[in-house]
Amino acid sequence: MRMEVSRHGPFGCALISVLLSPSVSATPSLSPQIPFDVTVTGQHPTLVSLQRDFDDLSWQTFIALNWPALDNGNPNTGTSIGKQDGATVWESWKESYQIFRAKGQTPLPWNAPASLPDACKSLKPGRLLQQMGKVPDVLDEFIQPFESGPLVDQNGVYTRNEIVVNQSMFNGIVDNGLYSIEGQQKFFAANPKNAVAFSCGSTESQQVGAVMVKASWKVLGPNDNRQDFHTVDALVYTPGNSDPSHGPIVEESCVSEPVGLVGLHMVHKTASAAQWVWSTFEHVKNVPDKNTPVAQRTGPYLFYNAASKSDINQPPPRPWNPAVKATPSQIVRDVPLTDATKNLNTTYQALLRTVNPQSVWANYQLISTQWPSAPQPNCQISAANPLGSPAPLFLANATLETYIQGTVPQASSSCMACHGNAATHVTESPRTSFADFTYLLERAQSTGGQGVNHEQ
Amino acid sequence: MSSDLDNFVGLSSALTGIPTDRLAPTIDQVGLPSTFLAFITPRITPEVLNTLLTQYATLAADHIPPDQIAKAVLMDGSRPAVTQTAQAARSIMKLWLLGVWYQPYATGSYKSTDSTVVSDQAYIQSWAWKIAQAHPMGYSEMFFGYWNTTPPSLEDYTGVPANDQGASS
Repeated sequence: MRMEVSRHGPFGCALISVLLSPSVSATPSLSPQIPFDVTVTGQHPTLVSLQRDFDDLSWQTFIALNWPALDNGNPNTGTSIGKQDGATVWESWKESYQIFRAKGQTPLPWNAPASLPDACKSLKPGRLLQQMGKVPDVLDEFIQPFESGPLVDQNGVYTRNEIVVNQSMFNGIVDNGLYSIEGQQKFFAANPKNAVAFSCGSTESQQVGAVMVKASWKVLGPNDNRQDFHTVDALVYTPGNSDPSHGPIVEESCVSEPVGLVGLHMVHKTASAAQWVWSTFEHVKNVPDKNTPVAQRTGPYLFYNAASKSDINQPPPRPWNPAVKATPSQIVRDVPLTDATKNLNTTYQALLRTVNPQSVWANYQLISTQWPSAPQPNCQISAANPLGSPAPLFLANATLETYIQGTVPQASSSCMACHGNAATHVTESPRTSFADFTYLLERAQSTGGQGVNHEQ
Repeated sequence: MSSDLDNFVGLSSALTGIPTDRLAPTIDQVGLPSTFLAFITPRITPEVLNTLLTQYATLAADHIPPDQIAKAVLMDGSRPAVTQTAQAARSIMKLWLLGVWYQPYATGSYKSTDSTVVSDQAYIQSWAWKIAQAHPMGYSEMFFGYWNTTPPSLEDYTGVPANDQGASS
């Protein structure tokens, strides 16, 4: 697991060799195969045509990851996506709390079932959605990046988030001991060239690279129609907190509830995207666009109420306590979808309805895809242009970066710009601090510590 | 036949010494050339712009080297030219280098003392920072700890080897 930082210029030959690959045609299709990398379709690629190609990659990835899964997590190739709603491929992947365990314990094997908090064990089995303990240096799963705040649905309930990784990335973490602070220190000390570098998807080698998925779910209430969502039966877990210095006093709880998918980030590292490809989807009913006249925001929306007088895109007041009903968030989309992305969404949604006119997956839309427009060949990173010139410059999911939408540099959400700041626990040099665009490694705990038990 | 945008990029390259494919990459997610051209056109007047771009296009068509084109545009013998085209050209240089438009002369409602940061991206992408092998104040895309390492070479940043510019990397 080594990373090499290229010293070559970012824009010259690399661009030609990486992006100007032989032109091929790409027809939208439904396939359980995760794309290995982007397929460039234009004879003379432009920013617009490449955005279309990466958006197509996003949809193909969305379909493959949401393909019905067998019990072993592999896609069920005997059916198609959306015939009926059920467990998906990515839902069999490892959640962050199963990897970064209390006291830096070794993760259980890939195929081992997830462990449950005691408070959940007597309930009907379900997918564990938890917020992390309220401790310093650990991101809370119901609070968004930069502690910008939780998102509250129209029922006054917090949305819940989770992060999972595929087996390639899981192996990259486990095999190199990156799941604990001491393991990270040992990894970098073992070889002066060791650096975090997850595997890259490659069309040439027919290999899927490291993939991360971040999902946001809303608890389905009596006014929500289950048929509109991809749903799972979840165990919505809230760890207790008895220390007022760590936030409001909260009693530990675990509730079995149906939840519906409202947001989905999919992030894939590929040979032409060492900065990863950042794809983000949302439920079509989430929010109106900012430029939609107020009178036309009829909805109904999941995170906007035309009759509400609440301020737009403002987080709820502190303290943030998921055990207490809150005023619903009043959210609009700051950067509207492009016409090209809307057209692609229409194409894929129609394709999904050919399998099942009521397919839940036709209720989701691609917001956009952020990709490096000045890539280096062979999954390298230019030292002079480490982010590879992200296109578009900004990208936000209204359910995951709700309060940092917009187009202000250093303040608004840019996947690559934000995740380029991710670091390991070993910050003695750029080599050891580089975390390959994931904040997950910051969740590693010390084997000698008191142990923040994410699993309870 | 080149467009105004092509000639503007070519002229800008001759004035700054930065290759055209760096000023206007084939895949350009920021789009400063068209932003700059639209911004300066009313400020130097379409007539002066046309004269400037025609001067560049004529010299380029004659295969005059870029540094000689810059000299022809900016100089009057051994002294800086005082024509509006030369003044406009100097402001265009500063625009690329600093992201700031310094109004070269009064025209219409524009005063010769006006100066404007054209946009956040004009500031972030301005070339003075790259030539200094640094990053803009308040904005960096470098990874954690970069300040403790030797910066990438001048060629990595600008596409021009240091020895071509009389500078060291």
